[in-house]
Amino acid sequence: MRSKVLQRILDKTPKDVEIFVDKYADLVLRINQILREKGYTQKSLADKLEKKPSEIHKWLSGEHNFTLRSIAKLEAELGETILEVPVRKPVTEFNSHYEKTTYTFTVYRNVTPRKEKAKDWKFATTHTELNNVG
Amino acid sequence: MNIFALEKFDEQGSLCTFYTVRWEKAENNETDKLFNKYENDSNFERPIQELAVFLAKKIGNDKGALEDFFRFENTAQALPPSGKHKVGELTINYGNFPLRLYCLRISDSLVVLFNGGEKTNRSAQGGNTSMVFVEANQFAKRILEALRTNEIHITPNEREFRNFNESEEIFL
Repeated sequence: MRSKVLQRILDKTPKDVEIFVDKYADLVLRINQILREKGYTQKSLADKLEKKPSEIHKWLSGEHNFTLRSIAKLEAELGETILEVPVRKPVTEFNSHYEKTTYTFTVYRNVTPRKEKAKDWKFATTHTELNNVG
Repeated sequence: MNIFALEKFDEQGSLCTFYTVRWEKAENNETDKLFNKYENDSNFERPIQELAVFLAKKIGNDKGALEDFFRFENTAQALPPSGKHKVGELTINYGNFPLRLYCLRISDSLVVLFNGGEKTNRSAQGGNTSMVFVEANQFAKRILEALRTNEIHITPNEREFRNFNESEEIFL
């Protein structure tokens, strides 16, 4: 059983709102967890960060938006990762039995081709490894 | 105090059941009143959606009603039986979140939601929501009293309330 109006609102909620709430709540939990583990109070954290306790209270009670800067300051002081961004390694996938080859072409437009005299090839009289190097 | 029903608001989450209260002769429960009020208000469209997702998905299905999600007000600490159960406010209030919703957190898996409203004051008992806050405290007081006197009890899995005769229909 679920309230009809609650379900109606959930049905209309865009995905980005869901993602925001999910990440916001995780952030709040993570910070509170670290503070408890490390025995910080809001006052001691304020002293360490050289900020007013009222400002720290705003951070932690949610009256202030977290910025990347404020999160970085917290991470630096607490010595713990609060926010982690997944890094994806570049991967090239090959179809089986086929090899991937990359060609680069340079296309010149509106250029009159120069007429060059075709090179006269001569048969080598002696055969060395460098015979074919022009 | 008049008679009110203690009834389910949302039990679909795997971790937490939400109850609400409804005056005996009222059509809507107190929490529906809040959601109905702001559902079609363009100024509150996003906040009311965030509140809905926070309740139903984050608390209900992902984390449970962890204490970190609630803010407890000093004035409510006088409620019986001790400071254990208090009327709190869901702290989805980052960046001046404009709404508040009062509730009684029984455990990580059981929460009673009341009404709420727009924040016009920093404290829960101030501004436009002061009357609602007083009423929330009265509801909570009656529910906690009923628990203490065994008029109602909590099921062993801590997900539901039951009447003294094991009925789910509860009027207090």
